[in-house]
Amino acid sequence: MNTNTFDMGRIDIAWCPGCGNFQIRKAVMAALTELDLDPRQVVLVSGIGQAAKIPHYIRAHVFNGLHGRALPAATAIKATNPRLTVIAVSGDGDIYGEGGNHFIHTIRRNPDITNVVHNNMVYGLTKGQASPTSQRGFKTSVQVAGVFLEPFNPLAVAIALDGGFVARTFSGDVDRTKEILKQAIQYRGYALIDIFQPASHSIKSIHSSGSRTTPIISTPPTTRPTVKPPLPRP
Amino acid sequence: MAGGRNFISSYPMSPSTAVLTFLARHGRDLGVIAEQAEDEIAAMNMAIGAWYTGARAMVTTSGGGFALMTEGLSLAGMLESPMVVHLAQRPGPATGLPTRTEQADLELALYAGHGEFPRIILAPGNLTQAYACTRLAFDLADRFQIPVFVLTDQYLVDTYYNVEPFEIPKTGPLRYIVKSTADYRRYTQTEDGISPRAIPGWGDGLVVLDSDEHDEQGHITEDLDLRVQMVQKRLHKKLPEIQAAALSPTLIGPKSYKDLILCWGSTLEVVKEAVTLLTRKDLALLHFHQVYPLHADTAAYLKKARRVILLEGNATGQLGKVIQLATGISIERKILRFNGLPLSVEDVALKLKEHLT
Repeated sequence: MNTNTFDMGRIDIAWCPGCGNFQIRKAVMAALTELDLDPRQVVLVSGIGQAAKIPHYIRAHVFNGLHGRALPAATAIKATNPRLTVIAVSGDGDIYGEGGNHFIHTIRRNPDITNVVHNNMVYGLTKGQASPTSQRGFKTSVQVAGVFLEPFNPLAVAIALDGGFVARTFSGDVDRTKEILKQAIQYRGYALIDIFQPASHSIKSIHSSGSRTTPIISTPPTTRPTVKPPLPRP
Repeated sequence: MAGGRNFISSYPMSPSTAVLTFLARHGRDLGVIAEQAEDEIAAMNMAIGAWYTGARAMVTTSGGGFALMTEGLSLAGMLESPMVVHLAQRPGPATGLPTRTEQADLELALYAGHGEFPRIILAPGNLTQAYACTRLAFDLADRFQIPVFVLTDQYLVDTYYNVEPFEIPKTGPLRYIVKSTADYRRYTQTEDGISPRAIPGWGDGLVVLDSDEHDEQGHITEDLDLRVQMVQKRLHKKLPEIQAAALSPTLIGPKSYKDLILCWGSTLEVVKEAVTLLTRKDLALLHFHQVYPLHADTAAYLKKARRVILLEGNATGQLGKVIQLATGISIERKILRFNGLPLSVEDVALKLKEHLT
C-alpha cells in the first residue's frame, strides 16, 4: 500500500502498540496518496484525544484545535479556501460527546468536508471512561456499576438528518477503509466515516473488569459499509 | 469593512446582533462570508479556522455568549491566531437586563480564557471612534497575532446620529501574511515574538497549528524547556510592542486642570457635555478608548490632578481597578451607575457637582 507522499518517515508516535489508530493512519495516508493529492492542498483538522493526535503523524497542513471543536474549524477552513481538501478526524468522545451540537449542525450545513471518527467506544486519553458510544454494562472507573445509557448511534442520527454520505468500517480492514475514505473525500458534501477500532489499553480494563463489552473488541462488527448514496444537492 | 474583514460567524444575542445582520444582508456585495453558528463555541472556532486559512474574521456577541467563547479565545491565544471580538455589553449576571446598557464586562474581556496570553481591549466612545477602533482592531490583531476586543454596549450600538463621512483609506489594509517556503515553521522564534504567518495553500510549506504546547514547527511537544521558550515568545516578547502601540487617552478641557474626571467607552459624549455644562476652568475629562493595556502616560495624567473622579457604568469601578494595576494609583472618588439606563447629562453634572464642592 503506497502511503509515501503523506508519510513523515521515522517519527515518534504516542499510541499504544496494537492500537487501531495505526491502521486508520495507514488507510488515510493511502487514500490521500491514491487520490493523487498533494500534502500542500490537504488540511487535517482534529480536536483532542488519542485519535486527534493523528494529524501530527501525517504530512499535511494541521489544525489541531480544541476537544469537540474540529467541525466548526474545518467548516470555516473549507469555506475560506474551497480549493483545500479538508478532513476532520477525531474520536467518538470528541465528535459525538463534547462536539455533539457541532456534529448535528455540520450535517445540516453540509460543507464539503470529510469527517473521520475513530470509534473505540471508550475514552482513551483520559484512561477508560465511557464514551457516548459505549455499550450498556461497560464498567469503568466512573461508570462503576456499568453504563446504563443507551449508546449514541451516529449513523442513525446522520441518516435522519439527511446526511449525504454515511459509512461505517472497521479499522482492521485497512483496504476497505481506504476505499471508503477515497469515496468520502471525493464526495461533494459532508461525509461521515465512523471507524470501529479496538483501543488496546482498554482491552485490558475490559478484561479485568469482566465487562460485557468484550465482544465488541474481540469480534469486530460487520465490515460491510453502510453507505447511503449521495443525494442530489440543489 | 475598512479593516478588511471578510468573515463573520456568530450566534444572535442582543445587543450585538446588528453587526451580524448587517453583514449578512450585504455579504454578497461586500464579499463577506456571514454564518450564523449553532452556538458561540462554534462561532469562535469557525472564526479561528477562517483566520488560519487567510480570512480576516470577527465574532460579535454579548456577555453570556462571550462566556461560551472563552474556550476558543484561549485557543486563539495558544495558536497565536489573530481574532477580533466585538463584545456589546449589557447588564448581567446571566440574562440580566437584555435590552439595557452597562459597562461591566471589561474585567470579563481582560481575564477571559484559561492560561496566559496577551490581548488588547479597545472601547470606542462614539460612532466615529467605533469605525476607527474596529479598523484598528483588525490591524492590531493581524500584526501581533493576538485577540483584540472592541468593547461596546447597548447604548453605543443602538445610537443613531449624523456623522461626518468616515475617512476611507485609499489603500487596502496592511496584510501580514507571508508565502511559505518548503522549510516553513509557523512558530519560528524571533526577537519580537512574532513569527511570520503563512496560510495553507499559498507557498510550498505546511502550516501546522496545535492547541497543545508545540515546537517551532507547530507539532505537539512535552519538552519543558521549549515550553518556557514558547510562553516567552507568545507572551513576554510581544508585550513591549503591544504596549508601545497603546492609544493615548484623550484629554478634553484645560491642560492645566486641577480636577480630572475619567471615563471610558460609550459615556464619552454625555460626560463631555456635562463637563461643559459645569463651566469650570480647572476641570478636565480624560477619556479612554483603549482600556487595556493602558497608555504609558496614564499615571502622569492622574498625578497632575488634585482630585480624580472615576465615572463608570458598573458597580465596582472596573477601569479603576485596571488603572490601579497599571499605575498603583487608587481612585477613591467614584460615580458608578448600574441601573441599566444610559447616563443623562443633567445627572452626571449633578453628581460631579457633589464631588467637586
